Amino acid sequence: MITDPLDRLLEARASFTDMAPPSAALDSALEDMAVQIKRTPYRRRRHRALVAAAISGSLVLAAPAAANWVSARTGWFGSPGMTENDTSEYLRQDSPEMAAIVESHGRDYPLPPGGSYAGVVERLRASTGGRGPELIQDTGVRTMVAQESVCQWQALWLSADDAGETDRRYRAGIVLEEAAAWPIFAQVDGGGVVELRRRVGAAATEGTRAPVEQDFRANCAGRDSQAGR
Amino acid sequence: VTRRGSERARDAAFDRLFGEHRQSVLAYFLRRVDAPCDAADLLAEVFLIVWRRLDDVPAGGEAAPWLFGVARRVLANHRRGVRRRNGLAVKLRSTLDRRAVPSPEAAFDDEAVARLRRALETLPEIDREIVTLRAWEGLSASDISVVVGGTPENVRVRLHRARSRLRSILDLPGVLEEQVVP
Repeated sequence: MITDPLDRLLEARASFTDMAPPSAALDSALEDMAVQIKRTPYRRRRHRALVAAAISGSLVLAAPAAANWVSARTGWFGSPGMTENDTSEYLRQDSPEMAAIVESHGRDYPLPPGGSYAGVVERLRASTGGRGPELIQDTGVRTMVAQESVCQWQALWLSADDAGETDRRYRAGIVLEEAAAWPIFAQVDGGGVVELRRRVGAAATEGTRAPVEQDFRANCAGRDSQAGR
Repeated sequence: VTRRGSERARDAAFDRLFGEHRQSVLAYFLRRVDAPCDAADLLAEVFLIVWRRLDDVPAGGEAAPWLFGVARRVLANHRRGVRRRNGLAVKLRSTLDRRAVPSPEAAFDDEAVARLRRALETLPEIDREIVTLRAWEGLSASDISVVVGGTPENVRVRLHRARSRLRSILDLPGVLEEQVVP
């Protein structure tokens, strides 16, 4: 028996279980809900057709004049046991071959409708600033591609949230949630990267805006990743 | 393990969680929303998240606070005006409407409950949640810390202060010592 007057008051306020005890009708409705939930997809479908279209487009753009051709491949690989690099190959950022490399990595990451990795290629080229060849490791390119995918899905999520389009937002949330399991983020995680992806992904599927918006502003704002917005 | 076998295991894991926690999560929402039918949509939302993130749900006794944590965030979205009517809760919504579950206020002295409600409203949201999770869901300080964040010690301190403040506002007799929260 509750003797504390505060607890008695709180208990009275919450006496749902006395007023709505389990019943056959309630159980039936709950079971029906469970069946319907289990019919919803829990694994994302890859947007292979869209990626393929993007690849073929960029390959045309990347076709170089033979005289200017510079291979991205250097044959120089990172030394094992270092903290600031891994053992992947160093690539020339200014090579026209870079577009095909970006798109090749892009096959592993989904894009929303209308999205592309052209912005990644542009940033790689622009970062040389006309100072001549600069190098980036292959793992770095892959990280940029995966992050670009996240940014474009976040843009779509925010756009859908603005418009109150819950289905579109939910679909984007599923991709953002799954991004936490992409191996590249674990591979380059120097502390907190996977956890951030996991936290933002969970917020996205739950429909909580602030973490998605904050991550987008911190890691995507200013880049060309406005697909869906 | 075959794909079909893995899907059956997944179904079974979901059924187990749903069976064990559906009533308590539904009650969590019914205690906190104005219209019972909203609780149906919110319950569907929580278990849709469970279905999507089944691998993230902790095992055993840690599942309940994890679920209440999800429920808390889903409710916060609901209060911000985010409406979800995804068709999963049609039958439950109708059932709850037909049952015409009375609001808790109806079963109690109006004035006392109105005063309690006003007093709860004066608390910071996190303190209100701590007080009600303890009183209504019967969660321990450790479990509440999973739901709202922070440490169990911090939860105990906030709970003690919030309850003292409620007593003061409601002019309730004090107790010599607040019950020690496990």
